[in-house]
Amino acid sequence: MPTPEPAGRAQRLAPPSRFGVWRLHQRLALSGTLLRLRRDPLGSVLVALTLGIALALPGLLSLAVGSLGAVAQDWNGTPRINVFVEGGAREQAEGWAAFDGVSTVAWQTPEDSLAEFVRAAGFEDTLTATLDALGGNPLPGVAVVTPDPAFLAPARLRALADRLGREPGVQGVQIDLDWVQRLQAGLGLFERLTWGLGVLLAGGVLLVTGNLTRMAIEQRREEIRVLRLVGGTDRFVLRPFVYEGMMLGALGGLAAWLIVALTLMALAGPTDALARSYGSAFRLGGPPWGLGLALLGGGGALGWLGARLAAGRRLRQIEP
Amino acid sequence: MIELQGVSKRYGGREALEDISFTLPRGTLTFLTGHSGAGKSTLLRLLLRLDLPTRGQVAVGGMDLARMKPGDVPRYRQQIGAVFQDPQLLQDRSVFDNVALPLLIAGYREEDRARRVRAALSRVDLLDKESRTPEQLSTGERQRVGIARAVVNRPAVLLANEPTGNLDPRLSQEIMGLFRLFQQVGVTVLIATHDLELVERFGERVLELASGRLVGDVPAQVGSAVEVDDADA
Repeated sequence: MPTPEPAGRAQRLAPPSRFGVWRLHQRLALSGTLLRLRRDPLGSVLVALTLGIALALPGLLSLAVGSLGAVAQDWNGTPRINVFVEGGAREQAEGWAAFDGVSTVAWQTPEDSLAEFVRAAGFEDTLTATLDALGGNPLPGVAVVTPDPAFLAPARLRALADRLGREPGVQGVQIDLDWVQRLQAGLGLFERLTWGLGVLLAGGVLLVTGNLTRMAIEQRREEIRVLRLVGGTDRFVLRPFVYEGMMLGALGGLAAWLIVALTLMALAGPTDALARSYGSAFRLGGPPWGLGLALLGGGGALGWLGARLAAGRRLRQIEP
Repeated sequence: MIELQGVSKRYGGREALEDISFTLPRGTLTFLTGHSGAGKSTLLRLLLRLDLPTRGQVAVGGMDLARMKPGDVPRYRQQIGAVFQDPQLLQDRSVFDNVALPLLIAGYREEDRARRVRAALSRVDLLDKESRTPEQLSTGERQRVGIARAVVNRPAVLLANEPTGNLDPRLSQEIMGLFRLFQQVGVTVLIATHDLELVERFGERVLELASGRLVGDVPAQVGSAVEVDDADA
């Protein structure tokens, strides 16, 4: 439909380029959103804090998982394999140091073992009587095998233990794997819990921004009707709401970042004291920047999605 | 420009329009009269493609509105100027921003927008009130803002639903004069009104609706058109 040009009026305007239109619309949506957020600063801050708390929790948990993992890695109580050898086959045992996966072998004579046992059990007084009753030292020699760091995976440790167990004269093999396995399992559980909680709380952020968007649309129903009447496209009508959701989400991410940083500051002192008491050089450190970016981006993306889902559904129901 | 063929529209069980056919050539001004409930608003809704006819065909600019894709409807509406009885303004925006709305949607640059908005506002004599909000204006002024917004994007078709419903006779006359002005520059104008006295004075073509049927089609009376002073055009 050509538009007639009235005589004597301003010349026909060049139609704006697609990019120009797009840029103008982005700018409009952005400035409108900022204006609305500024118009209700308290409300905006409260929403940002609500979303911030929801986002901070998985953020903190993920940091905790990371820290505990680091502590577990640093723990220099490498699992040892105790090989019980009949009699005193010391040379044989020390030959195992050449085995694949073995770092060192320390030999403990039956007498050493007995002394250790007696000390641990508090039997000093009755030692002689006990030995008499048993007819001599019943304890075997023990080869304490320290595996290579490369052999710390439970399956490889187990394989090494099996091999040692097949050696002649070996009565039994014992690995203190349980502790490590428990720690690993615990960390795995904790990590999964963090993920689960993260998904739940992300869902919470979606619901909060979605609901806010729904209310904002309800409030501005008349405006939407008018925009539709004068030819506003769905995209044009939708964009401010989506931007608002995205911006609230990003503000929530920022709030979460602050909460995480404050929490780490509050925990730094006690953590240092605890680490020192274990002789560990572990330091909590400041919040990592990567997490900050993830919170900001994740918050923004969740806000965008929540607003998009809620607005898309709602706007279709408003026809002029 | 506008062509209806056997158009019927049923709302629930009620026949709002029944078998309407007429053609409005480009650059003509036509009145649509009838009592309230006769189907005037329904007809305008069909032309704005706010509704689709139950039967028949509505074509504007050679385009069958029923076959238009939903995604193309906004672009179509951008080319139609619409004036409503309640002018449908955004209450929290200034007069200027309200009038600029179609230009924002079309994406014109700021200086182009400003030029066009001021041109439209000067036509409706509101240039000095561009920074007020609608609630600071009288009913008549609000109506004129609505008209300025309808014409700011130079639509090919101008539809008006009771544009003078809230205005005193002098203002009504003025606003009708404006519509005449747009018609003279080639816009196809359709005005729904029940102000028969005004309609008669203009001597333009009149379509009369009664209970959803077209019961009269009085052609324009040659030589009886009211002269419009277009010195400020």
